[in-house]
Amino acid sequence: MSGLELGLISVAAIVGLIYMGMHVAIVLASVSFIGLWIFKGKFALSVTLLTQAVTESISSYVFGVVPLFVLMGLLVGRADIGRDTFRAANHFLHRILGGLGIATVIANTAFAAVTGISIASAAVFTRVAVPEMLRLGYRPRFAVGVVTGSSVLGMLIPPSLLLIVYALVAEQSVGAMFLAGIVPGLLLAAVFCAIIFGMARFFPRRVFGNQTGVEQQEELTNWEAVQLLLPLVTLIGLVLGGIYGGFFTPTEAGAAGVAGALVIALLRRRLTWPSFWETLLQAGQITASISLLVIGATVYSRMVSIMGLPNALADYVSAAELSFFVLILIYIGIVIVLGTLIDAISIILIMIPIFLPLVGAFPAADPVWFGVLTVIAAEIGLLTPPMGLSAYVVKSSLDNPNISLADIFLGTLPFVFGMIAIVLLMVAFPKLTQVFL
Amino acid sequence: MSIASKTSWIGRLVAGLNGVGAVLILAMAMLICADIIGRSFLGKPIAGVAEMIRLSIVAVVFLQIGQAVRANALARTELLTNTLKTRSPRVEASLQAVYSLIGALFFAVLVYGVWFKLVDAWTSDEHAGVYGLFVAPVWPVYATIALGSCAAGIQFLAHMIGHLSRAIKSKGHAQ
Repeated sequence: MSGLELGLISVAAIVGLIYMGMHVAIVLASVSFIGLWIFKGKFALSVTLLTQAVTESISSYVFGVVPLFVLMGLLVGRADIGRDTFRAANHFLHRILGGLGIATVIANTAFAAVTGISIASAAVFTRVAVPEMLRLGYRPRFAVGVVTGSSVLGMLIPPSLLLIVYALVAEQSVGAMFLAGIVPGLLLAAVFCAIIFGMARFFPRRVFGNQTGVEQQEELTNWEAVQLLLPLVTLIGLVLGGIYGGFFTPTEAGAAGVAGALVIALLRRRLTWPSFWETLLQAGQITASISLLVIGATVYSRMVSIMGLPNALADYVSAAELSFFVLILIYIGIVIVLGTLIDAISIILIMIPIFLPLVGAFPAADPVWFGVLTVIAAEIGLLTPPMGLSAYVVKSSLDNPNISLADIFLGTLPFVFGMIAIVLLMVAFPKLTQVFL
Repeated sequence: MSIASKTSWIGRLVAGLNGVGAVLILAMAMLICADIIGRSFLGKPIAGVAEMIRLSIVAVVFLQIGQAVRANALARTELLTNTLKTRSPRVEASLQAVYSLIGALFFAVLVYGVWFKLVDAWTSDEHAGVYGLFVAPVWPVYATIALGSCAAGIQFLAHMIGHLSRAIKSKGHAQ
C-alpha cells in the first residue's frame, strides 16, 4: 500500500472513530501509531516517535499559556464578571431596539477578552441573559439563539484556546495569533449586532413575543454601571494590554491574569478555600485534556508527513490546476462539513498538518491568516446540528424544558450565516488579520 | 466536576497526583509573577524561569492525566454514545469498554517507551538548562510521565471493568 492510500485510510479512520465517541487524543495518537507501524514495519520506530511526541511537544515555555489561561478563565467565571458585564451592557443599551440581544453580544465580546473558552461563555450567559430576555417579552427561540451564537466569540477574541492550540500545532507565535484574532472577532461581533438590529427592525415577530413584558428596568445609575465594568476593564488592560504593549510574553500575561483574577475574586468574596481548590483541580484536568490532544496531534502530524500526504495532495492540486481561491473555498467547505460531525478542536488538529503545507506553497497564504480563518470556520460547527457543542451547553445550562434543542439550532441559524459572511470576507480581504502587525 | 471519590486505592492515588499537579500550576503562576515583579521593579530577574516552566509543564500534565481519565474529562464527541445509551445500553457499554481498553493499551505503550528514556537519563545523569545559571536533572520529568501514565492506564482498566459489568448486567436501563 502506498503512503498516500495508507494516510487517507488513517485520516478516515480517525474521523470515524472520533465520531463514534472514542477519546480524540487517543484516536489521533493510536491510529497514527498503528499507521506508522504498518507503513514502516517497525514497532520500535513507532514507539520512539510516540515517546518523542510526549516528551517534546508540550515541553516548552510557551505551553505554559495553556494552564495559566485556563485557570484565569475559571477564576473569572467564579468572580461573576460575566453577570456584571451583562448588567452594565444592558443598562447602557436597553433603550435600543433589540437592545437586550445587542447587550448580550457586547457583554460576550468583552467577557471573551478575559476568557478563552466558548463553553464558559455559553454557560454563563444562558443563566444571565436568557431569563432577562424572556422576562422582557423576547421570543425564547431568539433569546437562546443570541446566546448560542455569540458564545463563539469566546474562542475567537484573544485570549482564545483555539488560537493557542493552532499556534502550538502550526508552530506560530501565540502573540501573533492573538493580534490577528482581534479584528475578525470584533467584526463578527458587529455583524451579530447588525443581525439582531435588522431582525428586530424588519422581522419583529421573530424577536418579540405577543405580550410585551413588564418594562421594569433594574435601577442602576450610570456610575454604578461603570463600576460594574471596572474589574473587567482592569483585567483586559493587564492581560491584553500587557501582551500588545510588549511588557509581557503570552505566558507572563497568563500568570498576571491569574493573579489579577484571583485578587478580584477574593475582593468580591466569591472564593473560599474549597472552591479555590476545586478551581485549581479543574484547571488541571482541562490542561491535561488539552495537552494530551496536542500530543496526539503531534504524533498524527508526524505520520501525515512521513507518509507524504501533503506532498501527494499538492501534486494532485497542481495537476488539477486549482487556483488558491478555489482551494481555500474547498478547504472551508470540508471544515464546515466536518464541523457537523466532530468538535472544533479535533478539526483543527486533523486539518492543519495536511493543509498548512499545501496552502503554504502559495505565496498569498499567510499562516496566521490561515489559522484565524480555520478557527472561525471550525467554530461554525459549534452551532450546527447534529454536533453543535454550544447548543448542547446552552440546553444543559437552561432551566426551561419548554425550549427544545431544535429551537436553539433554529434560533442560532442567522448567526451561522453571519459567520459564513465573515469567513468569506476574510478570504476576500486577507489583510483583516494584519491590521496590528 | 466533582473530586473523585476516594474509596479505592486507585482513586486515592489519582486524586493525590491531581492535587500535587494543581499546586504546581499555582506555583508556576507565582514564580512567573515573582519574576515579572523582580525584573520590572527590583531589576533582578529570576534565573532559569523559562527552563523551570518548560520542565514543570510536562509534570503538571502527567500528574493530572489520571484524574482527567477518571472524571471522563478527556475530550470526545458524545453524540453517538449518548443516543446509544438510551436505545441499546448494552451496545453502548461494550463500545465504552473497547474504548477504555484502547486507552489502557495506549498508556501501556507510553510507559514502555518512556521507561527507556528514564533509564537513559538516570544512568547518564542527563541535565537541562544553562550551566552556571540554572540546571536541573531530567529524570524526575520522565519518572512523572511514567507514573502518571501508569495511573491513567490503570484507571482506564478500572473503567473497562465497570463498563463490562454494565454490559453484562444491564439490559434495559442505563447506569
